This record gives sequence, C-alpha cells and structure tokens, in this order.
Amino acid sequence: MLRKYETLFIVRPDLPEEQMANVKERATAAVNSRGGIEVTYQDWGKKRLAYPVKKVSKGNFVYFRYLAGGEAVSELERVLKVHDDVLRFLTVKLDERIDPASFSIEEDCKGIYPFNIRPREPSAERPAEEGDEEGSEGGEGRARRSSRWGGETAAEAPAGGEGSEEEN
Amino acid sequence: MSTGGGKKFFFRRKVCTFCADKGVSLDYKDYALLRRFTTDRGRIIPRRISGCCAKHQRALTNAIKMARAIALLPFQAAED
Repeated sequence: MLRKYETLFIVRPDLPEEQMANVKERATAAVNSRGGIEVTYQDWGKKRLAYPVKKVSKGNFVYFRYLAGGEAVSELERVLKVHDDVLRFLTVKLDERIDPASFSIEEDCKGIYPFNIRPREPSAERPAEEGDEEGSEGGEGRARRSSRWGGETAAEAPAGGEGSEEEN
Repeated sequence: MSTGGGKKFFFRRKVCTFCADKGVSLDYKDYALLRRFTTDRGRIIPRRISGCCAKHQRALTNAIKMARAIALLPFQAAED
C-alpha cells in the first residue's frame, strides 16, 4: 500500500533545458530511490509569482505526482530544499492506501490540468470558446479564464458585500 | 448597487457557491477561482459576505492559505 502525493514546486524561470532536466532527474530519482512510483511530472510553464521569492518575481511551476511512502517525501523535500534552482515547494497528500497493482496511471492523470484550468461543465456562460484551450500550459488560456472569473466576481461578491454592510 | 440608496434590506444570495455548483472543487492550485474570494488587497472575504457555508468556507480558507504558501496568491497585495 502506498500513498498518493503531489508536489508543486517553483523553479527559477530562466533555466536552460539541461538544468530543467537535472531538476526533474533529481526529483524523480529521490522518489524512485525510496520505492515510489512516478505518476506524472509536468512543466506548467512560467507564471508571475504573487510575491517575490528569493528575489525572483517569476517562476516556472512544476507539478509532480507520485505514489510513495513517507520516506520518499522526506527525501524529495530534502533534495528540493538543497537544490539552488528550486525556489519553493508544497507537498500535499492526496490519498492514503493506494494499491499499486490496481492503479491506472492514465486514469489518474485525466483530471490534471495546469492550475485547474480545465473545460468546466459547458453551461450557459461558457459556450464555444472552450475549444481552443487544448489543456496545456498556455498564457492566453489562463488569462482568458481568470478574466471570466473576474467578471463573475464583479457580479456576485460586491453585491453581497454591500448588502451585509448596510445590514450592520 | 442599482438597488442603492436608502433601502435597508435587499436580496442577498444565501446559497453557498460550492454547494450550489457541485462541479466546482476547491483546490489550492486553482488560483483564479480562489482569487474571487479575496479582496483586492488579498484578504480572504468573510463568510457573511461571500455567503459560503461553514464547510466550504473552511476548505476555501485552507486552499487560499496553501496557494499563498506557493506564491500563487499574495499574502498582501500592493497598495496602489
């Protein structure tokens, strides 16, 4: 029985290919050396950070999901902490008790989209523009979606806000 | 806003966004969604205003705090 974990980490934005490969190699090796199974390792692309981390204001986000035990997590986090090109990381336990024998990697990867930017239920508000999102990291796709959410905020939250302020 | 003026009570949506729409799951990686529940200064919008139920507000708070830890959301947004 293994646990399912995901680690999202931020790598320096302007690294050459081989250094990105080096990060990947070390991260996956850390998990594999402790009996873990790699599920997916995805580069989610560059994104502006909400605040500067180690004096860097942009970051390359990497998403790593794996099946492993707790020692693998300690080892991976140790490796990431030591690595100069990794700015920050966050590990989350997704599932306890996964049986690797009956686990389908393809099945598990289906729900993963960079920053959850996925084709949501095609309801009334989102008619056709969904098609060109292609599920990969794309700056335009992300921007478009956040503007959509922004639009909804304007419609919902402030209205509620003023309501309760007047009640008080 | 258009209702404006002297009216003391007016309609406020009482249903939690996440209860209403079961398809939406709370995830710290989904910063675009979480941002809707923060003010422009980056603070978490309280429950009495967002209208979330206790369960989802709790999950939302955790998600926002995790997103902050990984620099997807600001702890404090710029002043200007």
